[in-house]
Amino acid sequence: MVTEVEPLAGEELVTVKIRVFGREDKVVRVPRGSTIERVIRLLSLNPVEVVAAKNGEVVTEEEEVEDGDFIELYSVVSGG
Amino acid sequence: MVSCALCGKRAVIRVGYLDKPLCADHFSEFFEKRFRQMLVRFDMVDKGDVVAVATSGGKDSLVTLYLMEKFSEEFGYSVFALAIDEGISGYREYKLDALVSVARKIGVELYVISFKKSLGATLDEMVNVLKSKGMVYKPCGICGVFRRYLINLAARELGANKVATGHNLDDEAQVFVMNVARSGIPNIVREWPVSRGGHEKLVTRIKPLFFTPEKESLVYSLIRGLKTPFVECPYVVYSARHRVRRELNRLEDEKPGVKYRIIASSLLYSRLLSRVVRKTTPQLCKVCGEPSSSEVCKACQFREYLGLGDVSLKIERVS
Repeated sequence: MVTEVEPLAGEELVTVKIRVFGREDKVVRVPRGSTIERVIRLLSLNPVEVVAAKNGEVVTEEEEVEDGDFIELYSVVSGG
Repeated sequence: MVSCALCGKRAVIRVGYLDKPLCADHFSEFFEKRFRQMLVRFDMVDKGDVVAVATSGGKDSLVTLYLMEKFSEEFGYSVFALAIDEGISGYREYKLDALVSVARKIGVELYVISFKKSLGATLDEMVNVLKSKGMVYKPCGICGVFRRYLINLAARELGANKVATGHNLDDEAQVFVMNVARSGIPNIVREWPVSRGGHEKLVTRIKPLFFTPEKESLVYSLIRGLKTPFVECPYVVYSARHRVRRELNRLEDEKPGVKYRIIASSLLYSRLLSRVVRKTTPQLCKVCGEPSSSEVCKACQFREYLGLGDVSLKIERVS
């Protein structure tokens, strides 16, 4: 299922693949220039509880996503 | 790309405490320096110490094990890993695999104590008994008491004079909030980076990650390749603490720094209350002879409640 942000007039969307906590793969379409934090919030997650890796590299949530990026989200809350 | 404030390389995290983005190298340096400072500032280790690192296979205990081993030569102590296999199907076996792999990678001995072999039942079996009795006690409460009991026994048996745990800043903030909610004054007094049990049979506990946010611990574990699988304990749904954790994280998202302020308050209250709360020396449990705050220790009370036999400590060396 693709989660898409409604673009404003003239806004271009980029497509990003997300692996959530190693369990679930999702596709999101967000406006170009969106940050990983925006993607995390779009998935109803709390950035305090998530660490992101972009194309295999751990990065801050302030990084912008680009078309075709693969983002892996790791859960800070391990629950055990 | 977000750049490291110190060198311009790609940043892996914005460290809230510094309000600076740092690259993997500078973040690791900062993280390890803080860990080392904890060992020094709180006199956590002495030359000749034998430190048992209580490890669950989760990121925090793996990081603690990795760094305790890293600094062992400099401080002149020795380290081994101690793990409890509670017998939680679909969870513990995966975490133990991760632990065995890290223990082998860094060359530390790993000892495992199973609930089944030492107490006579797995946690899964105990939970079935709890359910049949109406769940008066929750799995996490039972599990925590038995884990602490066995870790203390095994650490002593293996000659350790310190037990290091992976409790981080988030854990400690949650504990403080829960202690306040329960008016647990003696517990508030006790919460400190080093807990000396006040009895020769209680091994001193040290928490080098006391001031480390959980998120930073995860980033460090990923940088160092300390891999742990994405599995959750099935009994987490019963844990009141898990709900507190979620709420504190919501607050932290709204007002960054909340957890640091809670910890600062926790330490302040601990010191202030220690002046007025009378210190009690643990007595020995009249059933098992282990230190206890009451005539019969919690572990023995739970053993009786669950219909378990005597404790028979079985330690297995795994690596």
